[in-house]
Amino acid sequence: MRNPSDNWNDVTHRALFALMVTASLGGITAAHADGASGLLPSELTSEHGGFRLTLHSTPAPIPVNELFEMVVRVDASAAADDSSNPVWLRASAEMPAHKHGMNTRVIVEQLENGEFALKGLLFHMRGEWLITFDVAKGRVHEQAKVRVLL
Amino acid sequence: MSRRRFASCSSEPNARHYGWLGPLYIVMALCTGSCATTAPTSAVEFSSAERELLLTLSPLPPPPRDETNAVDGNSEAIAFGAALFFDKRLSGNGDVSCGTCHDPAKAWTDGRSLPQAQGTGIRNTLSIWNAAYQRWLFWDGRADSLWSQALHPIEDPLEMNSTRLQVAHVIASDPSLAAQYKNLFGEAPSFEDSQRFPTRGGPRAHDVDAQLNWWQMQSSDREQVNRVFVNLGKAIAAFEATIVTTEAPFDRFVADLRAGRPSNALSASAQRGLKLFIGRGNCAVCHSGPTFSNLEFHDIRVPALNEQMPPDMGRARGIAELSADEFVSAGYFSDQPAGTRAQHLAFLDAEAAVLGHFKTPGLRNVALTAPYMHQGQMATLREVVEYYSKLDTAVAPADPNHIEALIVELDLTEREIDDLVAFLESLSSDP
Repeated sequence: MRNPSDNWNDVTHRALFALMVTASLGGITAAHADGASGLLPSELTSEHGGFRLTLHSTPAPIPVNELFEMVVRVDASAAADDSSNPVWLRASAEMPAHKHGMNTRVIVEQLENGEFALKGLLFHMRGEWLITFDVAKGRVHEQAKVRVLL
Repeated sequence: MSRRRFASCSSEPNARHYGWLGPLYIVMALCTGSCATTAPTSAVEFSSAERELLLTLSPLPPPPRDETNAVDGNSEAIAFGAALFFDKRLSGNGDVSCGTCHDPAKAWTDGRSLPQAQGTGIRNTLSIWNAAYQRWLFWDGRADSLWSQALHPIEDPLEMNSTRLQVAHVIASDPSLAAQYKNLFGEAPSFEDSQRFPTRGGPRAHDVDAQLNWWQMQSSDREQVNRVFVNLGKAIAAFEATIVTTEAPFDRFVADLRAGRPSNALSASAQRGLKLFIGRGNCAVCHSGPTFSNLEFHDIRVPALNEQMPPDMGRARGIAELSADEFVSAGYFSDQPAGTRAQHLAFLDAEAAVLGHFKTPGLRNVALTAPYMHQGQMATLREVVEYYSKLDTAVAPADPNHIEALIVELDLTEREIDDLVAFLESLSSDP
């Protein structure tokens, strides 16, 4: 026969379990929030949905105060320009909280496979950086932005 | 009814009573952030994020080899460079050497707001401590290697006021120097023919006659002189690269932290100062890494030393000078024109908004290198910290397109100022 104290203990177990899950998730969440990632999302969509960018940095995660590169593939199939006009890409970065950008210039090279190689990026301070991609095809021009925390 | 003991941060749960949940509780207790956040240090607790940042500040690794200088690290080049560093014959009037302003007895600087050599300089003398770690040299970064930097003062009219031809003659006419040069770089030209090689001459010479002498030379002769001049710079740089700070009390504190043991390497005041430095003070955002410098340029809105000082464009002028300099890392005289230093030069943004910006100086041994700031405006470390606390003398940003919004009044208490100064003093190498 089940002892009434067993019911109490079951409830206590469940309450304790829930409390521990919450605390653990809080700890894990706090670690990610406190820890800097320097990681880019793998995909990014432009402001009006016309372009989808696939991103990859070398090295990854993005280092503090060291030159790094990025390879960007642009999918322009949803852009309001279905002509054979080439895709054009430019990138810049700034620290919105500090109100300044990089001290280097980004050089964009188009690779044979159509991807874009971005060189000369250097985030010389820890903190949040905002990377802005200007993408254009014909007369269609949109921006895509991504925040990176170092 | 049996009483159960539940998990807490200080004790393990009693697994025996919880069946399959018991081990899970143990794992989850160990994962709970608050249990793992802090480890005992000493007077001040540092969070896990703060500890992670502290570990990036120490230890100071050996300086990177300068690939653009083939004699970097060469013991004979270091000895030759040391001899040149203190040789006053490299100056126009024979009264000044590199060691005049970079006095080893004064922490490789001169203890003055502005240097006094052949004239009075316009910027504070940076210490040579840890110069080998720098990406850009001078307050405005107008040199991108240590050897290129070493050549500038020789021909600067306010510093050594000499010319590269004069220096080449010194080497050629001194048997000891000539032998050391030959051992490292091969035999130097004799330069005996005064028609081909005048006594004084160089493109940066202050006087017009010396400039005319230079440009009237055969280009092949100019290249010979340039090669000797550059090699002297490389030897001097090899010597300067050995001027590296050693372990400081701060480093021992971080070593204890890394090992997970309590530390009394820093006083309680210095520990509180450290916490401010990496936290609310935001100092470590720019004074980052083991040299406590991000190697780049900022405008912290410090006023000029006095009203007589001319406007100083800082980094903006430095970038312009780099673009016109033949002695850069990517240039003909570099021993690695396609390396990392050359890459930094290639990606330099000539249009960057850096008017009036100056290089973040490193802070190791900073307590020994007063006065401070690019014109030596501040006599003491306390004055520096008080400046950041109140910003009451701060001027408007020099470049409206680049505002370092991180520079805000910290409103520190007197105790906090003392603590920050104590921390900065803990960065001094052991005597």
